[in-house]
Amino acid sequence: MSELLDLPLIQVVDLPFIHVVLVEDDIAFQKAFRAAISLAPDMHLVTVASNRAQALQALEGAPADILVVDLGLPDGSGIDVIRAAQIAWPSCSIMVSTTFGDEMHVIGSIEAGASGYLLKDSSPKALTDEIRCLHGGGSPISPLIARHILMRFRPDNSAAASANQPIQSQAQIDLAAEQTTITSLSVRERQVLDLITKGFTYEEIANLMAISRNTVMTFVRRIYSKLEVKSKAEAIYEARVQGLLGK
Amino acid sequence: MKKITLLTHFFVYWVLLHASCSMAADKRLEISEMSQMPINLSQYFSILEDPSQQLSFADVQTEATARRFKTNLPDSGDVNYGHTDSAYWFRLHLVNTSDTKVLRLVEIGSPWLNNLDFYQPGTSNPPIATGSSKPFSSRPYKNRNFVFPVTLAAHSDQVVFLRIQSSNVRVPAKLWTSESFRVYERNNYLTQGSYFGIVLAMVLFNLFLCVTLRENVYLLYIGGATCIALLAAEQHGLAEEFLWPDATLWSTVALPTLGFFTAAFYTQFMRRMLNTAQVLPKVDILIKWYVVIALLFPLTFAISAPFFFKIGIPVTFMGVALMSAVSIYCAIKRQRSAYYFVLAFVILGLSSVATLVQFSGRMENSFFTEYAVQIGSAVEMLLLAFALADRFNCIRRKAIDDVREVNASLEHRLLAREAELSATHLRLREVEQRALLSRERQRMTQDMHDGLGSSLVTALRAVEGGQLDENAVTNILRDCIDDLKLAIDSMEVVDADLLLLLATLRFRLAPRLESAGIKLHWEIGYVPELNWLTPGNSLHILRILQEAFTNAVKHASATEIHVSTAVESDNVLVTISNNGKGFDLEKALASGGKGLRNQFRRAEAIGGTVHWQSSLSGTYFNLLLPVVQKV
Repeated sequence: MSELLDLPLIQVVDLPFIHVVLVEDDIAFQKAFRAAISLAPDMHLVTVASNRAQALQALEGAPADILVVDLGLPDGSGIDVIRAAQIAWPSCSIMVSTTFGDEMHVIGSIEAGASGYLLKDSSPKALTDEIRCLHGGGSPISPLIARHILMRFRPDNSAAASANQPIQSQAQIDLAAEQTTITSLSVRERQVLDLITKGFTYEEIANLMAISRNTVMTFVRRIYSKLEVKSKAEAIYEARVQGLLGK
Repeated sequence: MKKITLLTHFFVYWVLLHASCSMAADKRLEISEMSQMPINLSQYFSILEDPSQQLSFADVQTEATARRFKTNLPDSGDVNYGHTDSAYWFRLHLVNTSDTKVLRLVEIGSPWLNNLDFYQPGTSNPPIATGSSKPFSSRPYKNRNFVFPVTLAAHSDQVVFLRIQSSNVRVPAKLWTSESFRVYERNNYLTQGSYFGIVLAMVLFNLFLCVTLRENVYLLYIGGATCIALLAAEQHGLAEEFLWPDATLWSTVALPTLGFFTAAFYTQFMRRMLNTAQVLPKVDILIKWYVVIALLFPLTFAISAPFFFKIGIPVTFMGVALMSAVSIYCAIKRQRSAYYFVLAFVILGLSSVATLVQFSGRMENSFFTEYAVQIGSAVEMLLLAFALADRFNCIRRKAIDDVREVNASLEHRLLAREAELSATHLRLREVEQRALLSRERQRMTQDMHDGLGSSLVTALRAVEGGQLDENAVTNILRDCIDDLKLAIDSMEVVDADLLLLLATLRFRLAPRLESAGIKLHWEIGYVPELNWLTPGNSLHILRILQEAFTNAVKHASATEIHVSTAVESDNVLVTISNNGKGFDLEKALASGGKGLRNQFRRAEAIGGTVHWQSSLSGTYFNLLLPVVQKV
């Protein structure tokens, strides 16, 4: 115990704490998470919220560095918490905790503003590694998610979508143009995603592309934020097309 | 020569004297002073009926016979004996008291009269034998009517004789000055011409419609109009003058024959127009027979000419009466065409009355009475044409309505059919969906049973028996979670991308390999699309390869694993090799080897094959997949 208490004190001198907030209703995972964080000398678990209401309340406090959110909360969706955190704590990196890391849950969270995900069955070391990695600007990605994003950003995708709208107001045309510039992937980003779908790891990709592993990870982070912007733009566009919003 | 002339003169005077004695009672007609209006001669005639038709000109000049002439006839219109078998002699005494020679024209306005003989005794003019049964060239004056010029010297008088023998004797006779007759003649021909112009226009127009619309009811109209026009031409002598000047026999029978044909055509026309076959089925049979009789009736002339002439008129009137009644009935029943027909019959009646009035001579001739038949016939023709046009309009409107109705009902049926189809489609999709769900459920159940389920049961038994330590339980549970993750990944659509499937497998297994300290060499290359990669087939591949990895980690204790792909003709080869200790396939299979058997089974299910190449220095596991799956 004393060792554990001592370590952070030593680390504090060198590095600032990574302030972590957990939103999770499962007591067992809360416990495992607490244990994992307590083993990490550079991390500090600020709050644990057991439901959506508590989480939203916690967002009124001082910003944390990392917010770990479970999607299935007893009083609502973790997605709401992610959205609120995006606004309340813009500098905070959000990650969704998921059992399987499946496409459906992860993509939804990234669109809401998350930049990473945490597998619940991860070992304590893997868990803190992921948090550290995310805090350092990197993001994890699975081949299936990479492919999903590639499909979403397929060049003919947005063109086809706008061509399907027979009547375009100037605002819609502007919006379409905006979408293609801000929310299109660069050649390198596309290359990274393509290699991920073929099963290569960050290290292998870094070697293949002659860049550092870190750069690959920041590419992925940037891709995630582009997906978020794109999905928001699409939502607004959809709303405009459907006349839900005024001009 | 002079002698002869003298002799002739003498003869003439004798005759004149003789005549003046015997005809003391004749009304004398002073012709020197005449207005432009013609003089109706009927009251000036002395008439002798000759039932035997045997009397000759010489006979009627004998005193005995001359006395039998009826004189001082009352002024009661035209001389009219109707149908008769007798011949009639007409005697007319004309006087010129003026100092100049006068030329007058005697016009007999019944061009249908069969035989007319005109005598001018005491003059050098030979007797004239003419009539409708003689060629047109027999006429002294070329006119549709019979016109006989008479010249009287100054202070002279002249008796003329006219013998008429015809099936129907009516003699509208007039005396004209040549000047006024010329004016009358010109106007009359012009009017007649305009009538035939109308007829010609109507016939051509309806012929055009007939050809265009391909409907034979127009032919009936054309037939009727043509016959009635010919009838009018015959009745007014124009046919003899222009159409058949030498057809003497035909001229005799033309009038009644054309009458029958007209009746037949018009009756059939009305039959069709009024649709009597459906409206009045019983009367329709009568009408049909009437048409047949009217068409065949002219043949009776060959059997008995008098019968033909006598029965003709009543038969025609029967037809008119019948069709008038039918028209009125149909008009009451609110048949549109019937209105026109009733009106046409009224016009026909009026024109007949006008003609009769004209014949009676009781009224001054006016344009309308004079041309009543032509006007009536023209108006009638127009009315029937209107009926046709109206019918056409009705048919067209009905056709449009029908089309609209058909369209509406088609649309209705189409909608109903669409609804039916979409209901069927929905039902089929439901069935399909249920079948798909059922297949998926079976697949997942099978997978859980083989993998997750049995692993968990093994773990449970071991924990219960206290044979497993905490670590072993953790490993089993981790295996279970990995199994689950791969099962979930398999449900993502990988779009025929085998590499994506391999990537997913690596992504899931990487933490395990890493923690086991195994180095993975990823040596994949181009792989063609495998269009048969459904979630079910994907899971089979994942499980086969997962087992290969598990074997390398758990049983072979390898430190390095190579994963590579290659294309071999129509197959894709996936090779997983490790540097661990090898194994004997036969032995492994004999001693349980559930995992190996599962690999065989799953490979078979997707049309692929698995084989191992094992030595002490390692094991090569090959999975051969077809590019095109054979069903």
